[in-house]
Amino acid sequence: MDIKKGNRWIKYAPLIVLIILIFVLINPSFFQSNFEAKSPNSLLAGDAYGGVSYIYDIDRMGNFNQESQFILGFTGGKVTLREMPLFFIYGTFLYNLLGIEPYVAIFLGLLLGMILSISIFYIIIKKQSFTWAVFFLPCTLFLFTFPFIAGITWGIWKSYFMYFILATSFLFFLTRFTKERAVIFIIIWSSLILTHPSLLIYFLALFLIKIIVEKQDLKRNISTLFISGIITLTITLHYFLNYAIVSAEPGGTKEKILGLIGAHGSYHLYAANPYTSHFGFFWYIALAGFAYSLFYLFQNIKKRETFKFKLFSLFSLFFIIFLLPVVGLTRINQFRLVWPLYVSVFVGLVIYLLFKIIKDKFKIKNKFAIFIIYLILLVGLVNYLQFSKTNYSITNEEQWDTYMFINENTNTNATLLLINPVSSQNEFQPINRKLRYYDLERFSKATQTDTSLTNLYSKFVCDPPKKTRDGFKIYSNEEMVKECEENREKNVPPCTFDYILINKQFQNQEQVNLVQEFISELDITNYQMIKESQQTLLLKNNKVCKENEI
Amino acid sequence: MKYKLNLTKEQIINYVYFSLGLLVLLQIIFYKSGLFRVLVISLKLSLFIHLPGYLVALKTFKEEFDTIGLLFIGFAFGLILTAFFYYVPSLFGININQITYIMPIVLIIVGLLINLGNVKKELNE
Repeated sequence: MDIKKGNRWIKYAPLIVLIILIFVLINPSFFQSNFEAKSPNSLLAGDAYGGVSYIYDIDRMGNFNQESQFILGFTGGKVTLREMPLFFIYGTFLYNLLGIEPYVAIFLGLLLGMILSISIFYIIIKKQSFTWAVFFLPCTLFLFTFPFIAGITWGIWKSYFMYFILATSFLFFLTRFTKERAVIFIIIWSSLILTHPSLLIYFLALFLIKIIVEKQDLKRNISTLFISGIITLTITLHYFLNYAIVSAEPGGTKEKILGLIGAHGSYHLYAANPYTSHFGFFWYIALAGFAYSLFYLFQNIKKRETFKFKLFSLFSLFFIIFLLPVVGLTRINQFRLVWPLYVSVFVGLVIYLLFKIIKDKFKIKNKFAIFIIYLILLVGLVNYLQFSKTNYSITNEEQWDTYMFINENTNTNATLLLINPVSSQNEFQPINRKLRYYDLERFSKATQTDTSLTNLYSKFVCDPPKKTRDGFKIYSNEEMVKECEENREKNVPPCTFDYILINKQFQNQEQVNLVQEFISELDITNYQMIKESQQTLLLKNNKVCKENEI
Repeated sequence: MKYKLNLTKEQIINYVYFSLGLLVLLQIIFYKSGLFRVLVISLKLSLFIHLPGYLVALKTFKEEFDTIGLLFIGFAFGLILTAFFYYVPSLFGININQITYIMPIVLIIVGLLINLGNVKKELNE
C-alpha cells in the first residue's frame, strides 16, 4: 500500500478505533468473548425472550406468514401476524447462516446495525467536514449506556433495526436520485415498512424536504418518489391488507391520524424513558449546535440545494422530532433510544466550530490536534459513562438448560405447569409447549390472601391479535380471541398437566412454604422427577387426570 | 460484445483489507470460540452479507463516496438486502432455511452482473 492509499484508511482510523472500543466495551455484557453462549446474555425483559422464541419458531416453520403458536397458547389456530416480520427474518437469517444461537445472532445483528448507523453518519458528515465527523464520534458511546441500551436488552429490537434502515435511507436523501439508487431506495423503503412502520410518516417528511430543497430536480424527484411509493406499496401490500383495514375500525379518525404522527396514548418505556438529563452537560452543547444549525438554515435558505444545507436540515429535522414527546407525541419516546446519534452530531459540530476558532488563532497543526482532542474526548467519556459489565439475564444457565431439555425430550403435545416465584416477565416463552403458570404476581397474591396456589387462577399466554395497532385494525380469529380470553386466567387442577416445572430461586420463606404446600397437595406417587438442578425441578406426571374428573 | 467487471484493483484490495480487519477484530473479541469457528463466521459475514451489499454500493454510490466509505455502506446494504430477499421467498411458501446460502449467492451474482461494463462502449466513450 503506498502512502496515498494508506492515507485514505487514516481518514477512517477514528471510526475504526471507535468500532473496536464499542466491541470491547459491550463484550462483557453481550458476548462474554464467546459465540457459544449456553444461555442468553443480558436479556432483561419478556419481549426479548419473545423475540428469541419467534426466531426458533420461524426456523421450525420455515417462514413467518402466520402468528407463532407460543403467542397463541398452542391452540393450533391460524391468524395473521401480530408482529412486523422483517426483523425476525433478519435474526433467523443470521442464526441459520452463522450457526450461532438466536440470542447471540440478534445481539451481533443489532450491534452491527448500530455500528453501521454510526459509520453512515460519519461518512456523510465527513463529506462535509472531516474534523466535524471525528468530533461527532465520541458522544455516540452514549448509545451503549443505560437507558439507551435498554432498547436491546429489553427486546425493543424491531425499532432498532428500523432506525438502522432509516439511517441508511439518509444516503438517498443527501444524493441525487438515479435509476440504480431508486431500485435500492424501494427496497430500503419496503424494508422500513416491513420492520416497523409506526414512524413512517417521518421518513416521508424527510423526502418531502428533499423535494422542496432540490428545486432543480423537482420533476425527477416527484416522479421517482411517486413510482417508488407505488412499487413499495405493491411489495408491502400483503402487510397492509392484513393490518391496514382502517375503515373497518369504528370511529376514532382523529386518533388514527394522531397515531400516525406518534401521539399514541401514553406510550412510555417505563424506567428506560430517555430524557435530556441523561446527556448531562453534553445536552447543552448539543442545543448550542442545534441553534447554530437553525441559524445557518435560515441564513442560507437560498443555497438550499447545497450538500451542507441538506445535511443541516436532515439533522435539525430529527433533532426536532426527538423533542416531540414534550408536546404529547409519546411514541417518539421509543425513537429516543437512538437519540445519542443525533445529539452527537450537534455536540461534534460545536466542538468543531470551537476548534476552528482556536486553530486559526493559535495556528495549531490540524490533524495532530484533532487526533489529540478526539482521544481526550474518548477516554473522558469511557471514564464518565457507565457500561454494563454483567451479563445478567432473567434466566440463568440452569433454567435455560431445563427449557431446552423440555423442548428436546418431551412430546410436542405435552402440557406444562410452571411454578415461577421469580418474575412476571414471560421469560419461559422459548419453551415450545402448551403451558400455564403461577408467576411472582400470583405468589404475592397467595401470600397476601393467605391461600394456597392451587386455589388461585393460573395464567395462560394466549394473545391473538385483536387490538388495533399503530392505528390499524388487525384481522383475527374471533373464536380464538374468545377462547383465549376465557382461558387466560382459570383454575386448572395440577394433575391435568403432563409436567410440572418448579423454579427454585425463592426470594423468601413464604414462597418456599407456598411451594411446599402446593407439592403436599399433589398425589406425589404419580410423579417422577426427571430433571433436577440447583435452580429447577422438573416433574413428570405419570397419571394425568382429565379436568372434568376432578 | 465484450464485457468486463467495472471493479478496480483498489476496490478489491480494500475489500480484502476490510475482511481481514473484521477477522482480526472478531478473533480478538471472541477469542474463547476458537480460531476456526471465528474464521468461518467472519468469512460468512464477509462473503454472504458484505460482498453482495458492497457490489450494490459500488454501483449506486461510486461517484458520491470514497471506496472505504462504500465498504461500510456496502455492509449496511448487505444486511438490509439479505434480510429483505430472505423474506420475500417465504411469502410464496418457500422454506427459508433452504435458501440460507443460495440467496446470498444469487445476490452476489446479481451484484457482479450490475457491475459488468461494456468494453466497446467504454472505449467509444
